[in-house]
Amino acid sequence: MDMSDFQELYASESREHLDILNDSLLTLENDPSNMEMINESFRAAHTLKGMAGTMGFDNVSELAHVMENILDLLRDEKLVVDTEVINLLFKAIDTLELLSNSPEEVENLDELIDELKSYSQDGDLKDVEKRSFSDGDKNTFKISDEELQVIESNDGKVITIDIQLEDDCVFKSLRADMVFEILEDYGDIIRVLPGVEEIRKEEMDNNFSILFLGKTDLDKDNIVESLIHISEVDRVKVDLVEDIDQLRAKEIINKEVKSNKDKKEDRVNEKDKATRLSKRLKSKSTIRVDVERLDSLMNLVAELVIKRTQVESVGESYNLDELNKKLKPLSKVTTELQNAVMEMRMVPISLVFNRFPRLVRDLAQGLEKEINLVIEGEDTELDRTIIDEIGDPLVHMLRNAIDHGVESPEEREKVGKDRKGLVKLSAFHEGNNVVIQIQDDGKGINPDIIRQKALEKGVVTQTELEGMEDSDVIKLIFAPGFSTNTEISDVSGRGVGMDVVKTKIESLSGSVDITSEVGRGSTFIMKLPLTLSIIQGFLTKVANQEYVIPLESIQEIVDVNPKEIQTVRSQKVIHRRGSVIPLISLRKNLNKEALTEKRNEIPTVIVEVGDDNYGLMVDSIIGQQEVVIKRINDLSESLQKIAGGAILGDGSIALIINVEEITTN
Amino acid sequence: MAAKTRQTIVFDIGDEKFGVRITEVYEIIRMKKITELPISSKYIAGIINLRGDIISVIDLRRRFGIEDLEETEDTRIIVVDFEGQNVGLIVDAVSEVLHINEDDIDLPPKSMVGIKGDYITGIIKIEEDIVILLELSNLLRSKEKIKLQTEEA
Amino acid sequence: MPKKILIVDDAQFMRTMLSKLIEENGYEVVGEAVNGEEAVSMYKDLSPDLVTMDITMPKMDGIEATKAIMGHDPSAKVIVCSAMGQKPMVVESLKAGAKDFIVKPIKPNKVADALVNILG
Repeated sequence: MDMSDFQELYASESREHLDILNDSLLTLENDPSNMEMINESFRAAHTLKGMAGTMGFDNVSELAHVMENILDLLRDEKLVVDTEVINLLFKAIDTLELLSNSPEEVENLDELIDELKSYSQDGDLKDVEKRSFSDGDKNTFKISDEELQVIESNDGKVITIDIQLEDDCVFKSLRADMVFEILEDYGDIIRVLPGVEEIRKEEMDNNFSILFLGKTDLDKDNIVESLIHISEVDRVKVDLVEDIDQLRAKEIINKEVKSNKDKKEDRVNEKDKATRLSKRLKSKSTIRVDVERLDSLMNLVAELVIKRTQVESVGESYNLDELNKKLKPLSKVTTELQNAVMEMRMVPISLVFNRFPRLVRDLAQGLEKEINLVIEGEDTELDRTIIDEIGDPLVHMLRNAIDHGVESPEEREKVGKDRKGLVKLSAFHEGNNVVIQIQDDGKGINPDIIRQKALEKGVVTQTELEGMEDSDVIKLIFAPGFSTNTEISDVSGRGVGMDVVKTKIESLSGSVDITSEVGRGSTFIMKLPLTLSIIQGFLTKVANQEYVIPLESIQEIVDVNPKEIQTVRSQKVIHRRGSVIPLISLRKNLNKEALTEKRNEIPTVIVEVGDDNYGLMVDSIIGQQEVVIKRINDLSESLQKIAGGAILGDGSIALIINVEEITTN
Repeated sequence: MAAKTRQTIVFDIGDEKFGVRITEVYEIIRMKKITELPISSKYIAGIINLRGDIISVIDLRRRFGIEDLEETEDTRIIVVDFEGQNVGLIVDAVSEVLHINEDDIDLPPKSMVGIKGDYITGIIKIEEDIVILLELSNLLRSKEKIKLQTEEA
Repeated sequence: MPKKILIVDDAQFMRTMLSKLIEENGYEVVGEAVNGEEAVSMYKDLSPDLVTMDITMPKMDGIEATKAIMGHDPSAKVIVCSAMGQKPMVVESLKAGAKDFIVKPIKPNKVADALVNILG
């Protein structure tokens, strides 16, 4: 079998497991008791190990193996979750990532493997298992006073029994049941670890322990002998409990009752997270397609739509009914094709956001700052091309927020802020844009400092500065050749300024803006258009020009009799189905001359904006049409009322109405 | 040693001749149907469909504050590159492509026929004509009013 | 004299596998039944020392067959063979009197262990 065939699959799948490792370790760092996260990362490391082994990548496999060991020690609480161990694991993840992307850059793994090994003391997993087994911590049995009284009033022998099942045992709970059944002949079971319920649900490792009250004549060896003969029971260890008092745990009991409840909730949360992570794996039963291929498909489909429209217009001009009829299903298919392609191109912004928790953590650590990163709207979908491009600008802005924005924990405490700085990354739809915001509660940008720097760097002249408002001064950070930091820090001083960010965003037909308040923090606002969109709309005519009103906002199209029109506070309205609908003349709104002729019926498109309806009065309605939105570069002028342009079948341009803007003006 | 030369496209607006570097020019097309935009700027004539792309078109007559002229056979749109995007300039006519010796370029006067020095890289005399070499990016970026003083006949 | 074993499974492949494993471990295969009904009647005829019982079979399933065999001979030794997802069936078989179970895909060492654990 030629393994190179599986190379790509291996690469993409290991990428996913590395992501899971990253995510779960991040969660673990903030919540060190989160057992589910340890298990999750353990499973990911384990899978990676297996995959790499199958591929014959022994070094990768070994690295994953030592990671697995450390995670196992964490699980058994032989190691504590601290920054050191997390850093070490991240280092391993980074190396594995590098290995899967560009293996030639990784020179020697031995050093790292040794480092991990020495951290886990004596590496091999087998040893770990043995140790944890023989150490069988009797203090883990905490029993109530009543139970203790029963034990004390009985003259039986109290023993602990540790059972180790074979690694590949399938129905562990059934083996446990068989153990319990045999034990019935020897005495009474007091406690089982993990609980009976957990065992029943197979929520256990390959071992479990029993606190047992045996009959007075109990022979340890007999018990071992009977239990070891149960299939798939690997090892049995029986210890006599000498000092019953060590089981007493009165104070702890009360606490435990309470914390048990918490634990349950925790577990639910852990489960959520775990399901989410594993869902990510499952839902990824996908094939990967080169974006370029998708682009060319997209372009072909757009072309097809235009051509179809052209054919349709021929059919209409020559009244070819037969042709028109045959074109209808074709038009349906092309529409569906188009939607399908569009959807293929849309991806959630979480693809970009996902890497930020880790990035922010590392940055914060490097800069000795404490950061609480909040991410919102990660499901917001954007066109793939944009997703691919916004990563770097976002990283830069995040760096800025953490490096220049958020103060050190000490400084923050001094000014009465939480030690932890808040950095909020959010994405949401707004009209035809997707807005991405990066907000921090740091020290903000001081316009006076910007003024000084801008002059020093020759970005502006004194005269230009004098006429500028603070809010405009702040925007100078986007000017070419501007960098506010006097000393070049390791983090943001990489020769890239905010001007590069701005250029990049603008090349994506977007815009970037900033607001800031000294002492309160700054907000970067990126607006990205939903370009490449194709919309269904109604083509209308206003003053000899064609306008498209997007179908999604259209409620209905009516002919309004001028007699129906009333004036309420100088606003023309009509009454329809008990509600008052304001009328907007598109001629007036688009700065066209008013129509002089009197009309008996005014074609009006009723649109819905938010919860309100408006009537847009047009000259005439041409019909429903599907158009490809093209961005209009409006140079210096702001063109809010128009969402874009669309090229019609005859090559002329129709303007697409921005319904929100038209109606709110 | 040969002097540096550059190619310049010369076009007419009213009675003046202007030049732009050929490297800034994307293409020259005949007048097309212009779609007006609902905006207040008079300089921006509207948008055109350039092989499926929509580009904005500036009326240089209006930009220079001289009265409109009915389009003629000679009217052209010069498509130039402005900050990475295509912009069309409506001109009365495109007359020639000149090879200019850089040494022949004179510095622009402080103000010339109403156009500020910022918009001019220099002037050059071609026989009895004066060609004003335009600094396109400054011209397109600015919103300032320009009044071309045409000599009264 | 080697202990006698009856194999019950509707799949030829499984019977061949089990038969080979059993003989390798020094036991004698006295018969092979292809369904529950046949298993019960062969048990009565052959009185084997142990039965390997598949769960999912036509005519009479392994659970019913185990019950019938246990009814006939309360000291009968039945090992059920289950698939991964059949935990409830295994529980029921154990309740019906099966002494042990093995899970498919079967592993030679597990089969050997189970046989030794029950037959000694």
